[in-house]
Formats: sequence, C-alpha cells, structure tokens
Amino acid sequence: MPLAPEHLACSRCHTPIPPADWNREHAFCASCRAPLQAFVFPAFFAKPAAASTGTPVLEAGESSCFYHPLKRAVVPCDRCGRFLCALCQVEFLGQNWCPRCIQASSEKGQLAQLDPSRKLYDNLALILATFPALLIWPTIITAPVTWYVVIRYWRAPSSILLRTKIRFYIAAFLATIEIGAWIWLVLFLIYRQR
Amino acid sequence: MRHSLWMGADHLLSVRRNPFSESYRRFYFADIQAIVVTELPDLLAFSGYTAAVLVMVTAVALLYTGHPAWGIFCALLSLLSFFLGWRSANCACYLQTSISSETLPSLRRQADAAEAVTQLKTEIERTQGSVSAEVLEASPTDTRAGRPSTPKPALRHCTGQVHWIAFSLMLVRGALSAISLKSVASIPLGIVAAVVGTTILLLLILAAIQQRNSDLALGVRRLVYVTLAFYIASGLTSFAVSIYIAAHLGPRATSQAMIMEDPALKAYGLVDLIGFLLLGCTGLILMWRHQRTVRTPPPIELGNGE
Repeated sequence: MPLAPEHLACSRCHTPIPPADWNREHAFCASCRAPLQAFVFPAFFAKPAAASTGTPVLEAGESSCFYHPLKRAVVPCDRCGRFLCALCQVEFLGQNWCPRCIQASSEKGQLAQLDPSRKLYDNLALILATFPALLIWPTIITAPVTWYVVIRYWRAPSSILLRTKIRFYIAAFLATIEIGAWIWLVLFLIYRQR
Repeated sequence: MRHSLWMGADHLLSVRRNPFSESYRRFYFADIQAIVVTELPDLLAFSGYTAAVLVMVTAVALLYTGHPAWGIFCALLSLLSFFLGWRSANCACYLQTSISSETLPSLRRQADAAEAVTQLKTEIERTQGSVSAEVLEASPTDTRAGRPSTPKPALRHCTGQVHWIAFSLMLVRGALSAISLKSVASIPLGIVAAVVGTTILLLLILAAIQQRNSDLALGVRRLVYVTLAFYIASGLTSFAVSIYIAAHLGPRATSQAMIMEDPALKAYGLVDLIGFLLLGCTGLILMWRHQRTVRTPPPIELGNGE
C-alpha cells in the first residue's frame, strides 16, 4: 500500500482522512464517500526514541562489551552470559539477548516468534499421497517420495499454529497402501507369466 | 491463498497460507498506531445473489419439466453463486505502525472486521492506553499540522462522450425491444439489436475505465456500474428463460413464432425493455445535470479602460 507511515488514508481511494474523523464510530471518506472508521492509538503521537550508541569505557578495569571492547557493559546476555553494551542489548521475550544468540536461535528454528514463514511438509506429503492417486500411474514415483518426505521432515518445525501430525500419519498410510498395491501387482504379473 | 488473524498475548499474528507454506507478520500491540476500516460497495455480493436467484429459477424450471440431472446441476451452481456472493469482500482494513502500513486481507467482511477491531482495540488500549479527546484536539501543532499532507490525486477531466453515446444507444436498444415485442421478430431486427447491445456493452466497459479518477458526477459513475450489473443479470435471465422454454416446449417447438409467442419470453422482453429505457433515460438526465453543474471558469473581467 503506497502510504507514508505517518498518514491515515481511506483504504479504498487513499485520500487522507482528516483528524476530525479519527476515533469516530461513523465517518465518511471525503473523496469516495465510503463509510470508514479510523482508530488512532497513543503510539501514533509518540516520537521515536533516539537509539543508544552505548557508553564508552571510562576507567580501566570496568567491564566492557564482548562485541565492542571500548564500550561499557551494562547487562549480560541471558542466553550466553556475554557482557553487552547498550548498543548490543536486545530486549526480547522479557529477557536480555545478544544479537548473535537471536540470530543463532532463529537459524535453528528455535524461535517461533521470529519465524517469517514455515514450510508445511505434512501438507506436501498428503498432497503427494492423494492427488497423483487419481491418475494411478504417477503413484509408482510419488508413493516412495511421500515416505521420504514423511521420514525426512517428521521432526521439522511445522506451522506455529496448533497443528497435529495427523496429515503425516494419513500420508504415510496412503503411501504404504500404494506401495503395497504396486508390489502386489508386480508379483501378480510375475507369477501369472510363470 | 488463505489469510487468518490470531491474537497473541502481546501481538497480533497475520498468517498467509498456501498449500505448502505459511508466512507470518506480527504486529505488537505496543507498536500499532492506527487501524482503518473502510466499507466497500457490495457489487460482487449483489451479482452473486442475482446469479444465484436466476440459476435457482432455472433449476426449478428444469426439475419441474422433468430434467432432474440438469436441475440438480443448476441448483448446485446456484448454491455456489450464493456462497461466492456471501463470502465476497465488502470492507478493507489496514493496520499502521511507525514503519509500515499493512492490509489485513482476512478482515474482508464487515461483521468479521467489526468483531476483530473491537477485540484489538481492547488489547491495544490495555497496552498503550487510549487517546483522549483532549489529546486529539490539543495536538494540532506537533502531530497534525507538522505532518506533510499527501496531495490529493488530481482528477482527470472526462468529457463523458462515451457515456452520452452509451446511454443514447440504450434508448435505441429499448426501442428495438419494443418493436420486437409488438410485432413478430425478424432476423435483421435481431441482428441490429445484437449489434447495438454489443456496442453498448463495449461502450459501458470503456466508460467504466475512462471514469476512474475522473471528475464525472458520482451518480453517473455509479449508474455505469449498475448498468453493467443489469447487463449481466439480463444475460443470465435470458439464458434461464431460453432453458425454460426449451425444456417447456421440447420437441413441440416447431417454428420460431411459437417460441417468440411464449409468455416467459414476452415477460423477459418487457422487463428488458423497461430496464433499458429506465437506465438510458436516467443516464441521460444525470449526464445533462452533470454538464450543467460542471464549473466553468469565471468570465474574464475586462478593465474599464481608465
């Protein structure tokens, strides 16, 4: 949406909403006359706080930041215990974290709060097990692939919303039936030829 | 693609899901500056409901005349149209923080949006507090006047020639319908009516494109959309009536005159005639009023020569 963050505009025609219409139950866009509601909160009026650059070390023997040896440490990281200056201190989940711990935890998928996206491997397995079965022949490839996906990604982090492993179970069950059917067909053809 | 919203302890989670992945956006209550909800016109819902009614009439006609398979198919189609109309978007919502403005696609129905916004407001005000009327009034210098205002998009001037022609042709189309109602329809008359009808449809689409962000009166612009909706409804009705007549007469339909004399076709023709004449006349009147009220530049004041 092409909006400057400090403006409020009609969602339909992008015309700015005058302050007189803010926090009113019933208002209309000045341009398209669409009924609208614009709710403004105190954060709208807050001025951004100046970022701290950290305090330099004043005296010899004072604790310094692990990442910036010339800056005075103000707090230890609650994860790794390293001393952090005001610049490196990140308040996250009610604790003090260092940027490296956040990065490492995020890369390992341990921080659901920071994940921008998740792959739904259980859905992939279920789709592989069901849709190709409509055409029958593709299952000779997709059934083993389904099993591979189920085994490979069984422990992979799934959706951060509530989700069970039922799709994995169903996909594995269907893939087993498909593989069993193919084995039975091959054995049947072999014995029939003999 | 599906969208959903989830309320966390300290943030709102917007989830966008396709069959293979989910992506997340988190909006912390402390960071949310504003929420804007705008109602949208219910054109899609109107079209969906109209189509549902027409197809359901067709389904009943087919079931009544002994075509159960087609009747059930049409009934299912009608339910689908109804569902699409019922679930179509009728509001748009966006949420603003200090660094971004994000639309919330999951809030596309007014009832859902109202409920979600009420819950959100409660949570945000619990975190941030609420903006009092005094704060809103007392801060024009540092928050309102200080903000650079977004320039309003300049409106293009539209002469409305396409609109004039389209609405005039609708009267012609209405007159052709009247002639075919009064006398036995002929092939040349049918061809002319079809050509005129197609031309009107193309002109209406062109008019709808031209009038976007233009200075044309709101009434004229809306009438173009209404006329387009009427065209769709008329087409669907024509389809329904044709199916009904075919099912009703069956092999007994031996001549074109027999089909044209069917009361259902006559009734449809009358509704079609009234619709075209009504919309055409309304369009011409609105265009005439618009032309009258368009601001003309004030006359140049000539000096008295002194």
